[in-house]
Amino acid sequence: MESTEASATDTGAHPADGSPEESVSWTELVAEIQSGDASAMEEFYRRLSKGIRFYLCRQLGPQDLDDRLHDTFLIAVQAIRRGELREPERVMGFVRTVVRRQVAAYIDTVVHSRKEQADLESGASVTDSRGDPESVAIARQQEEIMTKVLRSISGRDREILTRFYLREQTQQQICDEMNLTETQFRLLKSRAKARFGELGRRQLVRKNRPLSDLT
Amino acid sequence: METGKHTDIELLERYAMETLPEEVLAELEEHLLICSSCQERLAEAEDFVRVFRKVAPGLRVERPSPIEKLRFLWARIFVLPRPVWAGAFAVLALLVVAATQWSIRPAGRERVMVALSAARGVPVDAPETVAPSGRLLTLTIDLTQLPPFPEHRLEVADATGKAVWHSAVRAEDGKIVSPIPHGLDRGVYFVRLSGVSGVNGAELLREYALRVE
Repeated sequence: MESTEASATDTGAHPADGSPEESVSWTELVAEIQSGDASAMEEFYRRLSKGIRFYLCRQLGPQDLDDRLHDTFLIAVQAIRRGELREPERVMGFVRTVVRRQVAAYIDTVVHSRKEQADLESGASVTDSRGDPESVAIARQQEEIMTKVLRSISGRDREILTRFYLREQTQQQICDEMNLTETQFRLLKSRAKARFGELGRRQLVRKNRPLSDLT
Repeated sequence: METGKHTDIELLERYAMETLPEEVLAELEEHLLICSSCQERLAEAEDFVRVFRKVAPGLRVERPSPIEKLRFLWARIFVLPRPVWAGAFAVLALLVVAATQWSIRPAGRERVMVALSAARGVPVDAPETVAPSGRLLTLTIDLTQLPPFPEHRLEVADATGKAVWHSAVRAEDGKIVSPIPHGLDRGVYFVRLSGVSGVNGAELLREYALRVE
């Protein structure tokens, strides 16, 4: 959850903290991978594994995450070694494309296998999507916190948040229709989120780790 | 978006809500591949959006009913010290005497005129127009600085955005004077004025905040 300090000033781009980690010459790294340098492949994995894992988990869930990560990495490295990356400086775009194709392929496989499973004798097994009791309890606590936050703000502020998060209106449209400046709009959102985060830190022991911790 | 710079929070929120335009989607996802800070911020944004969407639609902001208030007060009375009791009885006695000396007029059902105004650049927490609950209200709006329309439409929405009343209205002498046929419960409302033309339909002109208490 966002820190109060960050939210209070988060009306624009977040100040850089040196990320993406150290500056790296992707062109040189790609060249070393193409030459078969094992340490370059380790470096490539170190820099990208967290991000690829993050993306795969968001799209496909936490099941078999390690296997999928390794498959994706292998495909990307093999493609680089075969010379399929024509512009080494665009390696991020290349990796993104590989990851997206992996996601699409997996979804296609799941859809296909469900269609083919016609075992009427045993019936269909359906996974309980509710999650374990711990995550259910955490979700309930988060909803209670959100209820508390929303009840503590004015109706106008609630209207603004509803327009953005539920009706998906743009910032510009909301500001125009409700006579707000961009700064007022951003401050309102960051205040609500900071309050949510602050109450969450006080009340929750988050055992169900956020996606970014799954590395 | 340069890969050396972090992502604007609004872009992350729109990505979390899957409303990000295609032209920036690729750049954002490439940045997320290598920036753990933005990954964390995205996870936080997704948490907030998910829980907000779960809670907000069903949220009813209710004020305590008169019975609940009485219960609360009744529970508090018995912890008051004796001098407070004595003082309370004395005040009560004075009120009884006063009531026998003067007649108390019952509250009238005459309408309350409510003049709505809006100004650009007003802070978010600026006071809204206030009107009494349980009374019949007549809304008045000055159209002087607004573009002319052959017809107008007024809508009153509650704090959750649900319309509680609407009507077509006509302007006279540069003003709209529109009675609401029923009283409003306590709460915050938004009065939306739209101009109606045959070509473009309804166009939102102004939104006014109205607190009924």
